[in-house]
Amino acid sequence: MLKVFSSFSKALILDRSNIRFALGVWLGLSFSIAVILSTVGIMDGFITSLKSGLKLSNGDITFSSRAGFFELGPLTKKGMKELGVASFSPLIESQAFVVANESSKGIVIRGVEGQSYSQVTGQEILPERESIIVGPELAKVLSIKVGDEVVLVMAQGNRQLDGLPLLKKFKVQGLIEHGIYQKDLRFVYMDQKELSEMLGTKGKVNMVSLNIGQDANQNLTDEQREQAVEEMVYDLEDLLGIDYRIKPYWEDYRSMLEAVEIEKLTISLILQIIVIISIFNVLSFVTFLNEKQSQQIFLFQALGLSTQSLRRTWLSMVCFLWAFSCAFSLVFVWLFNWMLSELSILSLPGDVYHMGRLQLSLDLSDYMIVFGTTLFWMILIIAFALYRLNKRSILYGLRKEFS
Amino acid sequence: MALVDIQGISKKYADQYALNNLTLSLEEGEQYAILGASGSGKSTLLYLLGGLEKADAGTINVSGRDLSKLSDSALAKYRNELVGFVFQFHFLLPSMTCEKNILLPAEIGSHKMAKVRKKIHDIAEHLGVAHCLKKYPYQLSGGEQQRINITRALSLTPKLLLCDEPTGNLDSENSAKVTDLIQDLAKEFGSTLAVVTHDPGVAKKFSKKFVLKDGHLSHESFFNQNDSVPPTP
Repeated sequence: MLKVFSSFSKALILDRSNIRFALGVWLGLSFSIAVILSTVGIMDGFITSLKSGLKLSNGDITFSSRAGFFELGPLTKKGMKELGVASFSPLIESQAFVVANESSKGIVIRGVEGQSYSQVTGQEILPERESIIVGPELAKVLSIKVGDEVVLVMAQGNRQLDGLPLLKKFKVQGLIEHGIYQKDLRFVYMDQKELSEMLGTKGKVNMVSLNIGQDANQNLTDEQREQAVEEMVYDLEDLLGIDYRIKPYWEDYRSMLEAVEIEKLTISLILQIIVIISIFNVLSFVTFLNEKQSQQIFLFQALGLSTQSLRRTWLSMVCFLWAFSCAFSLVFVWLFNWMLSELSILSLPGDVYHMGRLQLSLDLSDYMIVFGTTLFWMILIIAFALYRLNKRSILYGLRKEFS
Repeated sequence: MALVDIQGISKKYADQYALNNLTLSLEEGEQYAILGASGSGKSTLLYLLGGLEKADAGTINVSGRDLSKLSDSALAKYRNELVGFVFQFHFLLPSMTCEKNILLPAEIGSHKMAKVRKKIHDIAEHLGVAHCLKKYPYQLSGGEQQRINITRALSLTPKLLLCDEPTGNLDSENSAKVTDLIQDLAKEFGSTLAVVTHDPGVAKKFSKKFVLKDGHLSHESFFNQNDSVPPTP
């Protein structure tokens, strides 16, 4: 059968115009598949980048008290350890203005314990007293650099002069990147004790970031890890009760992530049209060959190729075309990914998309779904067309072609 | 013993009968010329015999097989294993060497290639085209191409060798040579030979002839060159 397939293909395609047509169809189908793969990849890449960015600023889980500031008691610490929390870091989060170079910007100020916070987030954030660490986008907006001085403006809290703002000068100790534009623009870190003193919280905190144990779970897939985080959220709800708000790291962007998932599905379905158009190109190629090379086809039939074998051979040819197109689509996807990371024209408007640059993220199931649906459409359309195409009798063909 | 038994076959195209209630038989190992004017139905008869088309009515029995009852794949197998075709336009695939062209029926029927390859070399030797096997069809003369065509038709030792105007494109010298070669090889392989021809020179070489007229067997049909009595249908 393989020999017949090889001879049949050779008899039909080894003609310069046919080869050009075949190349065009092949490239067209490859490109269409690549478009869907890239779309799915960019959506998945967006989700992956957003989640990893969120994780970098929060750890796996954060919890805060509905009553505001609270003390993290020994019982809670013990309970967390028993639940398998690998590391945690209490922090103070408040809002402030940062003033520099005659401009100001509203920011989220976080007072952190350097060691524990770095352990939870995996980022080296070790603010010294009278120093702050800022995101690179904020530094860009305020035109500040490491070593510059800025002024933080915040409320006095529960002190006597609470009607007046509190102003204090800080030195920019360093820049820290979160991978999320909004956080790079708004997050400022300082020493927790210093912030506590400024706000008069007397050692209390209003948030705890924790990590469920990255080292122990490093072999888990993203999905399994997210499940483990969700399970930990339920356990913490049992431990802390309803007075605390417990959030996994993606919670703040949950609706956006859900929207992206829906968008991915919708766009993928819409883009099936491109694939179907390319499959119609394949169909026109098959029809073209069937007409142009009908002598060869009738000869094969006259020499003993049954209609069923003929259809099977056509389908095999089409499947080969599909397989080569799938393979070549990977080249297009790689090229698009490269352009996405290298060409400035393809950088995203960060304030809209939260991230400046994206990488395609595709797993095996994405490839299988895209390649599988393409094959499904291809077989459906081509098989139907072949059924219609080969209805002419051999004698009719011979008479027409040999006369 | 009859290899082919045709009983009352009819074939109609549009409103016109190409063959109308035709009955005849071909004996095993015998050689027949099928004559007739254009449109008399001789090519239709050949293609019906070759299983390229099915008759509208009547039966064609070849070596115990009723062609009208064969499925598409059984009919394809019949064409591959029992029938050899020699077309007027020898029709060799230009993208393949002559050897590949000749081996095509063996490939399609998944036959043992080594055995067939040896055989086609013998036939090609006999036909004087052994030196052409590695060449492409466009590198050969018309006569050589037709001999390659004959080699392909005989490659699987068909029981029934059907030739449609095999010398239609050849000059009279080549025409006589090719006819002789076809007759010799058909005899050597024990194949029943049916040749459709317009050429009186070719027809003369056959002792058994059928003359078709308007889809019927004409009274001119005869089984001996010197016999003027038409055969009983």
